[in-house]
Order: sequence, then C-alpha cells, then structure tokens
Amino acid sequence: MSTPARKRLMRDFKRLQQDPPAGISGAPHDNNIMLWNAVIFGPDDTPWDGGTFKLTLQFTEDYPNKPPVVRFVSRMFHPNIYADGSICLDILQNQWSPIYDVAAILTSIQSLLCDPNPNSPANSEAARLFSENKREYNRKVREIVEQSWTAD
Amino acid sequence: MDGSDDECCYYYDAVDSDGDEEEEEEIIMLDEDDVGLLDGAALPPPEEEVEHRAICWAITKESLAAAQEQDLSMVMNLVNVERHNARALLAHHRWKMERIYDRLDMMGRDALLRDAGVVVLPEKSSSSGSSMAMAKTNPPGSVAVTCNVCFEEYPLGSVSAMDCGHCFCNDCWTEYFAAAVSDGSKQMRCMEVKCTAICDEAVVRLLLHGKHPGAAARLDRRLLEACVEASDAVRWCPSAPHCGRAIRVDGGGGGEERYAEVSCPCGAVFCFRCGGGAHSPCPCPMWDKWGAMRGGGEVDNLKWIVANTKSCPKCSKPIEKNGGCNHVTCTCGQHLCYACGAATGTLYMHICNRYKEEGGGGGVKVEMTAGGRQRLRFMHYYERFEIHTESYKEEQGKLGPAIDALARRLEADATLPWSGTRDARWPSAAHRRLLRCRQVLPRSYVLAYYMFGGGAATRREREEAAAQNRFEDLQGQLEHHVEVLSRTLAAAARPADAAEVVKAKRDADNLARVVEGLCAGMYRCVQDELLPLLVEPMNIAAYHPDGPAMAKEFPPATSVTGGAPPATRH
Repeated sequence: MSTPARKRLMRDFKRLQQDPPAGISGAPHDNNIMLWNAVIFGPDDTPWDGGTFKLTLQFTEDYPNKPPVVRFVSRMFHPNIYADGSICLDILQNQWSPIYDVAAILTSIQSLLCDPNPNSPANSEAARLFSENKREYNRKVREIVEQSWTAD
Repeated sequence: MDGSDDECCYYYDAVDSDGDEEEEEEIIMLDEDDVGLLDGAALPPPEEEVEHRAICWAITKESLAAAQEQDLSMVMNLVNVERHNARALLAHHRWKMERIYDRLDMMGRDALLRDAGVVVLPEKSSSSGSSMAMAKTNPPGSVAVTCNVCFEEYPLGSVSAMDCGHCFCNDCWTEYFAAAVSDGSKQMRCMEVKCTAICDEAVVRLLLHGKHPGAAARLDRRLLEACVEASDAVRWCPSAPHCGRAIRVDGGGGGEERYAEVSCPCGAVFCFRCGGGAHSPCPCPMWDKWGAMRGGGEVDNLKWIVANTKSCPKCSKPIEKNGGCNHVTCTCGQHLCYACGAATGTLYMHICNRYKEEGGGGGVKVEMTAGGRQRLRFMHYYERFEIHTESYKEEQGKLGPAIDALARRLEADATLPWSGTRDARWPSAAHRRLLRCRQVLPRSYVLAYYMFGGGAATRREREEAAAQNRFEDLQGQLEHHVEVLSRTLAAAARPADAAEVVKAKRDADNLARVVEGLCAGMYRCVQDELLPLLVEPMNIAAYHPDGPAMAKEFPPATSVTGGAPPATRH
C-alpha cells in the first residue's frame, strides 16, 4: 500500500541521496520506511567538530502534515536536548509545516547545535554552563564528541 | 376576631411610623406606582429614572448561522475582503462589529487587516507574486506545476493557490486540512513556512467534502460555534440536556451586560457571566465557593439538623413548618421563629438575621475553639439559606396553585364590590413579588457569610462596619416583611368573606411595595457600599423586580441582508 506519507518519504529519501546537504546523512530502515536512522556531523570550526551524532526519526501516516518524532541516540550535552535524546525545536512542534522534508529537519537540528535557544532549556546544566561558563561548556561538548566516536 | 383585626391595623401603623426617613421616602415614591400594580403590569424599579434593561435574545442554531452570515456579509462589504478574511477579522475582534467600525476609522483598512494577521496582497503584487511563484518551478508557457509538499507534478486544474500565491496540489491541501480539523483548528492557514495567510473557505470546504466529509461537517459546526465561544456578548444556554440555544445580551455598553441574569425559553435561568444558576446579589466568586462548600458530607448533617431540631421554646414539642412562612405557631399557642427557634409575640416583630459572635446571651461564657466558632458561624448563615430555599419551594409549589384558585374565585364572585377587589390580578402580582424576594434572601446570606468575617479582604474598616450595619438592617426588614406577606397570602387563599378579602388585598398590595423597596435597597447597598470595599473587585447583576431577563427568540432571517459581496478577484 502506497500512502501519501510513504510516497512522500520515498521522495525525501531520493532527494537526500541525490543532493545531500553537507554534514547530513540518513536512510530508512531496511524493512520499515516509517523509521529512519540519521547521522549529523558536528559543524567545522566549532566545539562540535568531529562529532558523529546518531538519531532516529519515527514517522506516522500523518506525515507530512505532522512532524516525525526525532530523538538522538548518541549521548548529547546541549541546552535544548533532553537526557532521553528528544529535542526541543520549534519546527518539530508548533512551527511545523508540511514543506519541511527530512533534509530540512536534519539541517535545522545541525544548526541548533551551535545556536541553542536558552529560553527553553531541556538540559538545565547545559543551559547554565552555556551562559555562565563557556569554557566548561565547550569542554563538555568535546567530551561527548569523543564519546560519539565509540558509541554504537 | 375584631380585637385581633384592630391589633393588626395598629401593627401596620406602627411599622410606617417607625420606619426611617429614607424608607418613608421610598414608600411614598412607591405609592405613585399604585396604578402599575393595580393594572397588573410589572412594577418598575423604585428609581426616578427607569433603568434601560439589556435586551436578551435566544438564538437557535439556525438563527445563529443566519446572524453569523449577516455579520460576515457586513464585514466583507465594509472592508472589501473575501469571506475567510472577514471571518478572521470578526474572530480577532471577538465578533464585535463596533470594534471593527472603530478600528477601521482609526487605523484604515491595511492596518486593520495587518493587526488581525490577515494577508491580503494588493492586486498587482498578487498577480506578480503568483506569476513569479509559478515561474520559479516551470518555464513560461508550462501547463504543469510541481507541488513542494509531495514533489509531484500536476496540471493547473489539480492545484490551488491561496491569497498569498503559495500553490500546492489539491491532494496535499486536503490532507493538510483534514489534519488541522483533527487538531481542533478553526482557522486554516497556508502550508508554506512562516506564511500566515488564511485559506479560502470555499476551497477548504470543496476539498474536504470530496474526501473527508466527516471533517467537513465538523469544521462547519466548529465555525458556527466559534462566534459564541469568542464573543463576550453570546453564551451557550447551560441547560442539560442542551436545548441548542445560545443567548445574546445586547447591552448599553460598558461591559455591564455581562452581569445580567437570563432566562432561556427552555426554562433554564442562569447568570450570564459564570453560566451557573442565577445568584444575585451574591457575586460569582462567593457563589462558587458556597457551592463547593455545600458539596461536602458535613452539609448533609447540617441539613438534617435544620430539618429535625426545631422545637417549641415553651413546651419543647418538635416543630414542623406548614407552608412557606417562617413565623410559626405551636399547638400550645406559643409563637416562634422557625429560623432561630426563639419565642416571638403575636405581632412577630422579630429579626434575627445578624450573626453575633458572643452568642451566649445571659449564660456563662463558654470557651470555644476557633473551629467551633467557625462552625457556629457557618451554621447561622447556612440555616437561614436552607430555610429560605425551602420556603421558596413551598411558596412556589403549594401556595402558587392556591393563589391561582383564589384569582379564579375572585373573578367568579359577584358579591364582592368592584373597587378593585374583584380584579383577580392582585394575588398573582403579590405572589410574584413574594417569590422574587424569597429567592433573593438565601443568596443574601451567602454574600453575608463571605463578606462579614468570612475572610473577604476589605479596605476601610469603618466604612465596612457602616455598610454591614445598613445591609443587615435592610436584610432583616426584608426577611420580616416577606414572612408577613407570605402569611397574608396564605390566609387570603383560604375561603373568606368579602370584608376579609378587601383587607387581604390592601395588606398584600402594601407589603408587595414594601418588600420591593427593601429588596431594591439591599441590591443598591451591595453594589454601591459593600462590593467597592473588596480588594478584589466584584460585580453583581443589576436588580430587576421581575428577576432575570426573558430571552426572546431571535427572529430567523429569511435572507442574508445586504447585497452579495463584490467580486474583487478574476
């Protein structure tokens, strides 16, 4: 059965393969197009440089009229990322639009790494260090960057 | 018998001469309304200028749709916008047409639209925008468009563009609308990122009906009901099961209409502000707290106590009240007050509405805990609340039919002199006045419970003491005269000779005027003296002698007024 959501996801996958944004990669599970694995590479010239952060994207048949549930699998230290890996990001919540495809979602999350929104802290320690002790914050970020190399 | 009559006559003279100057003035003023009462018309409020009352409408679903259509058409013509944008404007201004007129005058059309988040591009830019949007994806002359949601190509007939020029295929629009309806949205905005343009209602309805007729029906109902939920002037009738009507109050402005009390054609009577049963002169917040307090199990105990612990102060036999009047007589001949159990004389000049903290009277002062004092205090107010509520039921359910029977006997009795006595309207008019005041009494005790020593935060202690004294004086006198009126009407309803009927009419007419004036005075005291003392402002519905406003059925419009909206596109 080919529903609008699945057809759209096939299109998203095709576009991601044909024109991949820098630092982004993703693909559906072998036997379930509604569940994707993705990797975001930390942007160059930032404390996140070198990181390989793994995520999952769970879609429903409401896609693209509803956003997917996106979650980091890798351990993260970021003001807008919860301990369980879920992400506080406006376009995944009330600012969602059907225009956003998988590439746009992943690119937005990549941008969020270097541009936290301190007004909606999901990780209070990270938010505090980000505003009060940038050096310690950067040290913690580099710590999870190194962990991302080895974590499965 | 003759001696007793003489005593009664003396009693009324005593009351008149003992009344304070203001009350005498009120009574004198009320004398001028004799004609109104005799005609059987409703008494106007006892004020020199008759207050203009808010008009209430009961609107059925059909009339609501017609009224909404009327407002939409007016805005479409006034501001020159499409239907969906007219609806957005009305929603933004809570369906108050006056506000749109004012804002249009002050701000001009463009600012008015911008303020409401309505996107209406000028004609030229709109065309240019559409062309540019299409040109981005297709070479000139192309007959296919790529939808940026599903990335498929479609012929022009399978895509739709909104005011903003953003264009997507109809399949994606349809799924988007269905998801939005499922989410509870009433306003459909463009799918494009950050675009706030509102989607054309006709397009939305057309696409939804084709594939999701259930969602289309839900959206239609939601749009119809939105103006009730958004408007301060319209409220659903709280009846259960729902009668289907909304009530609209057209007031004189100033927001006072929100404090009206309304009677729906289905019989429900409610406070327009909070949706609960009518409760003036008690403000909404106090009435809410009272309702919450009465829900506890303790109140069941108190209710039993109120009903089962009355006994004669002379012979100690249990007392049962027969009828609505709370001045009762024991079989041993002792007269007493049912509310407080105290012995009274035959003239019934007994008033016990004030709560006195000491309580002990001549006895030894008993040391009481704070909880015990609070319980006694609550008991004082609750007991009178319950007793008057029960009296109202008696006077409505049992005395009412007896009064109707009396009216029929008066009309049929040819032996009575035609000096107004045979006019059968006076018993019903007096009975209505009795019921009205009896309804007000229990609510006045709820107000007093919270207002005086109930923790209500007040300013100016000296003013509070004076206002409390005045309120309780009015309340006590109202209570007393209501009891006398109740007894007078109960006696009049029994078969009697012509002389007794003439006397009963005179007494009933006098008492109806007195209780009317006292009730109005109590409302004024609450509104002008007590409530302004509260730190947190409160309001009550204005006093009306005939009680809540009867909502008239809104006349269904046979056609939408005003012409068809001018064609501004294509």
